[in-house]
Amino acid sequence: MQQIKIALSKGGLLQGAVDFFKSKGIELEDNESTKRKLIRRGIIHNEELKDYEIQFLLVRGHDVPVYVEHGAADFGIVGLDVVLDSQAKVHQLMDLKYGACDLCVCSINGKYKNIAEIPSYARIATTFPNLSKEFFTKRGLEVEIIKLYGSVELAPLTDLTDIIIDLVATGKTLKENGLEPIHTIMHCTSHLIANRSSFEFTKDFFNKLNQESLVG
Amino acid sequence: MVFRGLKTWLPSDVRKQLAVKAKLIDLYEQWSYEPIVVQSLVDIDVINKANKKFTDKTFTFLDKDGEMIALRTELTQPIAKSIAGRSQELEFPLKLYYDASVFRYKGSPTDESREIQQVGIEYIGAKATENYSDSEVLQLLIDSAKQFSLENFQISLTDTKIWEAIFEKLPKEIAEKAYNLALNGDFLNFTKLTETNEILKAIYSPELLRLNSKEQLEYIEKLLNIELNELKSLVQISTKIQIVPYQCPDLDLYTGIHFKLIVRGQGIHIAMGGRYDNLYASFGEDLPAIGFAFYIPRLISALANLDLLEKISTKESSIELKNKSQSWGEIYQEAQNQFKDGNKVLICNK
Repeated sequence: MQQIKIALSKGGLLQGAVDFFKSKGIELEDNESTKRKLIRRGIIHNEELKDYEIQFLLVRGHDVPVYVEHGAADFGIVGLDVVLDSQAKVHQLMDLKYGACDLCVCSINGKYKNIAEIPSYARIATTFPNLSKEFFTKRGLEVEIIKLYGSVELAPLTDLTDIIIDLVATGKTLKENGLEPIHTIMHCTSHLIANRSSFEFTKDFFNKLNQESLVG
Repeated sequence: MVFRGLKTWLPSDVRKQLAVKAKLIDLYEQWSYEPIVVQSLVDIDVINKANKKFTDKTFTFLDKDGEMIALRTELTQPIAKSIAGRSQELEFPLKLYYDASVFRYKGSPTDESREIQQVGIEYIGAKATENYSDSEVLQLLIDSAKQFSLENFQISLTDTKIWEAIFEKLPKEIAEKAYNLALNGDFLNFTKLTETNEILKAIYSPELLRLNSKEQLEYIEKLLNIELNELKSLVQISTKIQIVPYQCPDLDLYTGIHFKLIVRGQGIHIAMGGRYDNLYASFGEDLPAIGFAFYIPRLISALANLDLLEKISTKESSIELKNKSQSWGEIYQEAQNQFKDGNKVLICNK
């Protein structure tokens, strides 16, 4: 029996991951006694996967690449935005095509209409400091990046910054806080990532997941 | 002042390090490797010439004459420079082992250490198939792992020949893009690239992943129209050796096989090596060479996680010599008697 550890992002993206594994015949243990547990068993319903013991680790999205890069998890599922911002040395293996959203530069309504209007040394709040820095560096703009851990929409409303860079799915939260997207940096979906060393021992499991014919 | 990434090791840790290193060194001695001690400070050109990727990881200083010097980032380059400079007084092939630290300004992503202890070997002056040098080095790496009763490990093996064929057959910008995607582990965009450049499936593709090493080599040979006979014979040494074509050796340094020792449950390789037949020529002497290095902290961490460390680093207890009403001469004599019996002594008041 080979143990496979998979880090999943808690919150909005969890259901998509649960559905993905269910479609492959692996069910996340979810009942009254386990619902607060951060490590949960995967219940195998597919004969082809019966030699595996699956353990799901439920962690914060930004921590998924950390668990995977350090080898505490063999695989992880998290948004591409988080993977790229983390700069973690992991394998990016599958685009799972759910949890679609855009990483956008957003401004208070009407303050800036496009990137060209953003002045040098503008202050920008984001939970994605590396992607943000890379984006402005490529455009030759010197900006001050302020790393936040959540509720980024609050930053322009409190004069902390003029601009934010954040994920936009429906745009409803932005609108409710008087903000609008002025530029899309990248389109993001959930991705399957793997630890580079442990992948060499878990390739067969990935091959099975990657089979079109593997249906739970 | 606390220096990030540097530490003083206390006796309990040092005992483990010494025990682990001794196991490796005993093995290399059995295979007639000789010890070498390498200088810590090197000419910055030694690092730049051989391996530019280390430039931003190098501690550099200006000495009092205004010369730029650096702390060594690897052992291979300073050894190459020293051996190339004194080749007239040496006999080849030359087999060396070392036990030393390297210094890197930036640690690895998973380890911020800036001083990294390494034990490794260099086999200088024999081409790949001469004296079975590649086979011997790979076998030594496997036997090194076995010294510690490691079971669930793998030697991930590739050859620069595979990437060289890709660079020869594809336009440079596509080959470079493919190399960088594989280096960064971005197999999604790599797979997109294979749609228009089929030969890249020799590096990574779902069908390649499903093949065993022997089948992989045949698949790669066919796609790239090259012969990989040496790899074919090397994978026969042990089932622990597996072909990993998407492993990306530094093509400025390596010129043949390239390998990593990985252990199940460890996030990062614990030893790495390969063949670098052009390195010595850059220091003025045309000598083929191959070698590998163990990252001792990673090896210790792997052994500790697998409960294999205590077995090899148990501290032998000492015989206590009580100093009540005895002269130093009497205690010293008693200590000498204990030494003859192979015991250690500890003088105490109790």
